[in-house]
Amino acid sequence: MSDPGLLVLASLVEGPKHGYAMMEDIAAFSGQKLGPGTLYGAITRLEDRGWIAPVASADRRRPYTLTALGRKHFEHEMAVLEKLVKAGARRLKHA
Amino acid sequence: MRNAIRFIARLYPKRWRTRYGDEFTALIEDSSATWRTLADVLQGAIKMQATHWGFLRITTVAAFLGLTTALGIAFSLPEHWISHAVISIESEKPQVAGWEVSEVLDRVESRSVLTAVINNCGLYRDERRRMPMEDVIERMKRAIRIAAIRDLDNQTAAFGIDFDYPDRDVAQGVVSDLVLRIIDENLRLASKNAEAQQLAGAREPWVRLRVIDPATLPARPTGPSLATFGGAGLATGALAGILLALAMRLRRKSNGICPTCGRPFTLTA
Repeated sequence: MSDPGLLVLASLVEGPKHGYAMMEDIAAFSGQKLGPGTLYGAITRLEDRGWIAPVASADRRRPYTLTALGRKHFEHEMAVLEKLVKAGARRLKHA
Repeated sequence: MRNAIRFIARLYPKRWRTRYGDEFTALIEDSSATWRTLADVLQGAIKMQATHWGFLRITTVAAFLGLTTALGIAFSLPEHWISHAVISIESEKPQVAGWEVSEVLDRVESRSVLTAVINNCGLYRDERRRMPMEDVIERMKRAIRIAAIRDLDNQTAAFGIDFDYPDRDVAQGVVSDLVLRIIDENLRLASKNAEAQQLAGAREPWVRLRVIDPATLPARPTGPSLATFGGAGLATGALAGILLALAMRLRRKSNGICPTCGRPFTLTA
């Protein structure tokens, strides 16, 4: 999974958001500023895989929500990252 | 700047714009209009186009890029003009003539003579500013070609002198200069031998050099060949396109995306 994709999933875990809200949220929690091209590249890939889905909206700014499949994948990625962080911290301590 | 970004957004594939166009435009309007945003949108458009391109389109575009790049290189390279002269060798003893002609040619291709020719004809002006004179002389030596022309008895009956230069008038001038020096050097050597003969009482066989074809003004440059460059560029581009298309197809398959329709693979019951 690409980094922008992971950041989008992390942002949507809290609840549905449209593109600009995702950008602001991602900048706030990760410090990374995604441009519109990068963000929508990630949204396109995640929607193609069925991990996020659009929410009906009257506004042009269409929100997206995490699907059950997307939540499952995100939980799996977090578990892998958690193992990595713990192993890294342990090795740094003993190095 | 925002108008420029909106314009760049139109480079996304039509099918993608039908699905995401409105919300993407809304996001562009909400985002800051900077060069960074423009570059990001452009990069996204290129990636999205590449993702949606089929095998044939990738190969065609790559072949076209290869062709235009190669032609651009061919046009930027300097032309080569080769002037040519022929000098015949007449001698009582042709077997001996070769030695004397070699001696004449060695003297004419010496550092002092070539330096004089370079200065007289104004050769390699840019190179002389950038390189030591020794390197310029080496470059000139590589541009001079002297080839023996043999008769039916396999004796050297004549020799041709070629000089390769980006300017055709200068190429002709240099060959004329070299021919004159060869003839002069031969006469000088003959005169010296005659003196030695008088003193020694021996008679050396005579060698006479005669210009039978004076330095030509080349009608056509010898290179670079646009057809060769273009063909090589087209073939290289097409090959690169095929490899890229195959790599993208493999990547889409490993990502669970159908390489033909661009949609995820789904399992049916």
